[in-house]
Amino acid sequence: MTTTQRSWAKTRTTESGTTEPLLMVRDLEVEYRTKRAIVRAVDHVSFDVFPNEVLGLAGESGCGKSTIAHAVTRILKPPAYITGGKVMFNGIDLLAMDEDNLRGFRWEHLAIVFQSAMNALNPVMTIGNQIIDAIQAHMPVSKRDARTRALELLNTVGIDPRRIDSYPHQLSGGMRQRAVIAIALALNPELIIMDEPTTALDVVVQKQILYEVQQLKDQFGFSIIFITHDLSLLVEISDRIAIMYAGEIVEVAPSQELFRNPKHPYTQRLMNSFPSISGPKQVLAGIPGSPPDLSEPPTGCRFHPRCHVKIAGLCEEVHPALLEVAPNHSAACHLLDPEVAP
Amino acid sequence: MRFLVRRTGFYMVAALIAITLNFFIPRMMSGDPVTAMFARFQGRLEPRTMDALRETFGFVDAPIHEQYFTYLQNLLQGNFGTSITAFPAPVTEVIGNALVWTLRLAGTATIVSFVGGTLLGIFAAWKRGRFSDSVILPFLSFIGAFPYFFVAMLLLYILAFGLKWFPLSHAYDLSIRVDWGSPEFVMSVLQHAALPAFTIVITGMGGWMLGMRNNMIGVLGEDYIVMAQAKGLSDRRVMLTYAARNAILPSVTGFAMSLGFAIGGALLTEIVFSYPGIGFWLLSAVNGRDYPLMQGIFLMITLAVLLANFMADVIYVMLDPRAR
Repeated sequence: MTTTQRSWAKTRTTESGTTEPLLMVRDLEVEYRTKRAIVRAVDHVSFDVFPNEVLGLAGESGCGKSTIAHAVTRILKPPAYITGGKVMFNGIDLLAMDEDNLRGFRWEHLAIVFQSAMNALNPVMTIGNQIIDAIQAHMPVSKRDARTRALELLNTVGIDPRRIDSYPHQLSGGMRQRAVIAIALALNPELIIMDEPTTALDVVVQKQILYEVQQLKDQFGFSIIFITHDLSLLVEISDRIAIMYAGEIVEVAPSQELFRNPKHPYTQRLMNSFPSISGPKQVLAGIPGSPPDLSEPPTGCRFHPRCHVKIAGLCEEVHPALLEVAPNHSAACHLLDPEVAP
Repeated sequence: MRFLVRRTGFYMVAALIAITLNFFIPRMMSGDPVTAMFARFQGRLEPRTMDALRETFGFVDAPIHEQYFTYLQNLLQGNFGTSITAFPAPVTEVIGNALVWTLRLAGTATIVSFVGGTLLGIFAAWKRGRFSDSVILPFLSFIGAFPYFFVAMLLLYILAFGLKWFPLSHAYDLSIRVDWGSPEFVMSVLQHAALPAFTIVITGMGGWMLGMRNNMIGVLGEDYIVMAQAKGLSDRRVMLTYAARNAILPSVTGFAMSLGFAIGGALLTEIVFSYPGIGFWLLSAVNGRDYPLMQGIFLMITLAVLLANFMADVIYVMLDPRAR
C-alpha cells in the first residue's frame, strides 16, 4: 500500500454492540475566578456520550454550555479553572493528561467546531493549509499526501476542491463553516463538539449544514455534542438532549421524549417559548425573570425564583438531585420526586 | 495586482509634487546662495565669477517655468547640481558617500531594533506577566521615553568619554587608510558604529516591543488561536504562524516608514557622534547655506519615504491576503 492510498479511517473499538460510553463526564466543576468573585459556571455536571450518538446541550446564554465544551476539550483559559470532577474519554482520564499527551490527543480523537466560522479560521492562511497543518501535526505524512486528503475533505463537506487555496475571506459564511467542519473531520475523530455551529448562518444554510452533518456522522460514525440555545434545531439533530440551567443539568432525555413530555418546569417553559411553524397559533409564554447571578446562586433549586409551580418552603431550601423519572429520562425537580410529591 | 498598480500611480504623482515643491521653496526664499558665498569671500570674488557661479548652481535669469524644466531635465540625468560646502564636488557624490554610511548605521540599527523589539513583544504577550513582559518591557519603554539626544549624549559621555570603551566620533579612525579589504579598517568601522547603533536600537526597541505585545494580546483572544491549540499544533506554531503572523500586520507599515526616515539620516545620532551620514551633511548644508545639497538631500529623503511606503504596501499585500 503506497502512502497516497493509506486509509484514513480509524477502527472503532466501541462500535460493535457494546454500550460503553465514549465520553463520560462526572461531577464536572468549572469556576471563573476573578478578583471580585468566584463564579461556578459549571456545577456538578454529569453526562455520557455514546458512540455515534448526538447529544444536544441546550440552555439560555450564560448557563455554562460553552464552558463545558471548552472544559472537556481542555482549552479553558484563566480565569476559568476546572475545580473538580472527571472526564473520561474511552477510558482515558482527560483531566489528568499532561500538555504533551494532550497535544497528541486533541483533534485526533476530539475536535471542536466553534460558533463563528469567520473567527475560527486564521485569516492569513488558506483553508487548505489550515487542514494540512492539523494533519501534519498528528501524522508523519508528506505535504502532498496531506493536501490530497484536504482535497478529499473539502469534497466531503461540499466545497469545490478547487477552492483549496482560497483564504477565509473569499468564502461565504456557509462555506467557511463547512471548511471548519472539514478541518474537524481531518483526523477522523471519535467525537466532535459543535458549539453553536450554525448560529451565525441564515436559516436555509443552517438546515443544509445540519443535514450534511448528520450524513457525515452516519458515514464516519463519530459522536457529536451539539450545543445551541435553539431547541427546535436540537430536536431535529439530537438523539438525546440535556437541558442546562445556571450551570447545572436539570433534565436529560431522548429528544422525542423530551419534546413530547418535558418534565422539568424549566424545560416546559422553554418549550413554550418557541413558536411552532406547523402547529396551531399560540401565545408564546417566555420565562419571567432572568438567569441568576452565578457568583451568588439561589439557594435550594436554582430555578425557584422563576418557577411557577415551586413548593414553598422546600424549593428555596433543598437542592433537588437529578433523578430518573422515566426510562432514560432524568430530571432534577422536587415535584418529580416520589418521596416529596407522590 | 490592480491594487499595486494603483498605488504605483499614486506614488508617481506624489513624487512629482515633492520634486516641484523642492524646486519652488528655495526660490521663494530671499537671497541666493551665491550672494551668501560672495559675502563669505568678503570681496575677494569678482562679480564676473559670481555670475559664473550662479549659472553653475542653476540660478539663471530665465523665466521660472524654463528653470523648472531645466531642473527636471537635470534631475532625470542625475544632475543635482554642485555642492557649495563640499565645492566643487557634485551633490550626487556627497549624498552617495553619506548614504553609504547612513544605510550601514541607521538602516542596520533600525532593522535590528524592529526585529528585536518585535520578537520580544511576541514573547512578552505569549508569556504574559513573566520576565520579558514585566521587566524588559518597562525598562525599554522607560529608555524610549527619554529624548533621544539625551540618551545618546549620556552614553557617549559615560562609555566613550569616561570609560573610553568606544571612540568619540567619526565613522572610522582617520589615521587608518580607507581599505575595505584590511581587517584593521573594518574593525575600526565596527568600533565606531557600535555605540551609535546601540543607542538607536535601545531607544527604538521599546516602542516596537510594546506595539507588538499589544497586537499579540488582541490576537491571542481570537477564536482561531483557541482552535489552533485545539488542533494540537505545537506552541511554537500557534505562536508564530497563527498569532504573530496576524499581530505583525499593523507594525509593518510603521517599520517601513521608520526605514524611510532612517535613510533620511538618523539626524541626531549623526550629529551627536559626528558620523558622516546624510543627517550630518544636512546640518552642514544648513549651516553653510548649501542650497543645492539641501535640496538634494530633501529630495532624497522624500523619495526614500515614498519608496518605503511603497514597500510597506507591497509587504502588506504579501502578508495579508485580504488586502489583495
